[in-house]
Amino acid sequence: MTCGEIEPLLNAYHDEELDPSRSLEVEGHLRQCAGCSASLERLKAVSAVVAQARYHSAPEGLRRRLAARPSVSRRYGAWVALAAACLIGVVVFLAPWRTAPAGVEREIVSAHVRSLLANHLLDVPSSDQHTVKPWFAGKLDFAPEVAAPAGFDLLGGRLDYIQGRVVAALIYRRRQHTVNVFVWPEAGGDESPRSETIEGFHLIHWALAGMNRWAVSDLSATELQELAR
Amino acid sequence: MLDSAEEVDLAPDSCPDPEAQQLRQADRRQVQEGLERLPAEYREVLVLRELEGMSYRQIARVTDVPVGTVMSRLARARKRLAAELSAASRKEK
Repeated sequence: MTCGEIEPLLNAYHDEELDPSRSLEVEGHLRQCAGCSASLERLKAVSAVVAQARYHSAPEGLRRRLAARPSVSRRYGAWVALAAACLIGVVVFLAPWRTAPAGVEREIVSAHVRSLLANHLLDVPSSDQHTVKPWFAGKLDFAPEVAAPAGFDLLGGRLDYIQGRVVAALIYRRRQHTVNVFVWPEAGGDESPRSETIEGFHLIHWALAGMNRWAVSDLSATELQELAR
Repeated sequence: MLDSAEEVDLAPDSCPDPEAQQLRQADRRQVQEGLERLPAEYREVLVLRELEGMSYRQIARVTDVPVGTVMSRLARARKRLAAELSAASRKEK
């Protein structure tokens, strides 16, 4: 990649908003390019000084002044209210991620979002479980069970990468909602379904017959539970 | 994998950028004045990202603009603030 191509990605790279493959490309370029590395250093410096401003002064002061500006409050009235809520909201919001032992929940949500964003939902598009299951043979060192639960349409399968290993992703649809079910083998006993919500996405985790399963979707948690039966 | 991660971490330390170093010297007042001189939509995106720690998607939702706009605004906002801070430090010297 050239500097011209890197430059527009640098902010997103700095904010950890790039997908993994783009991030690797940017990192590769940064190792060779002093100019872009210096630009990144400047971005880090700006973030650092802005973030520091908060530690020394109450952000309320800044907020009050922002709110007092007619242009701000007129056009971004909602923001003023939200900003106060965000202080608490962001902390509460992020709490489950922080307590997650290995961040696997977050990886699951990222993989789900990525599958919808990057136009790479399916490697094997088929509604036939007997087509999807053999497709994984030779690509994985385990054979995931491809279920066809009532109320869900099987769309197909995909390979994905979670927790440092290649896993099977089974894709289902219920009405307009896409569901990713990630499957990989893990030693340990069966675990009954447990649900969680991250960033508005519902996750269900369960383990059965030595297979770890994570279902993720914007579908309601109750409906998603049906997959784990 | 480990090796490449280490290289990435080492790279910035081995060649400190003078402009970045100078930016880091900015004090709280300079930063606040710099922020105040920015257009409202730039200040907003910076505050939401740097102080509230929001993701691009969350910022897009709160400000009701596409994620692409969040990205470009944030890039311009940081550039402008860097320019303001450099100008401020030159003036005070």
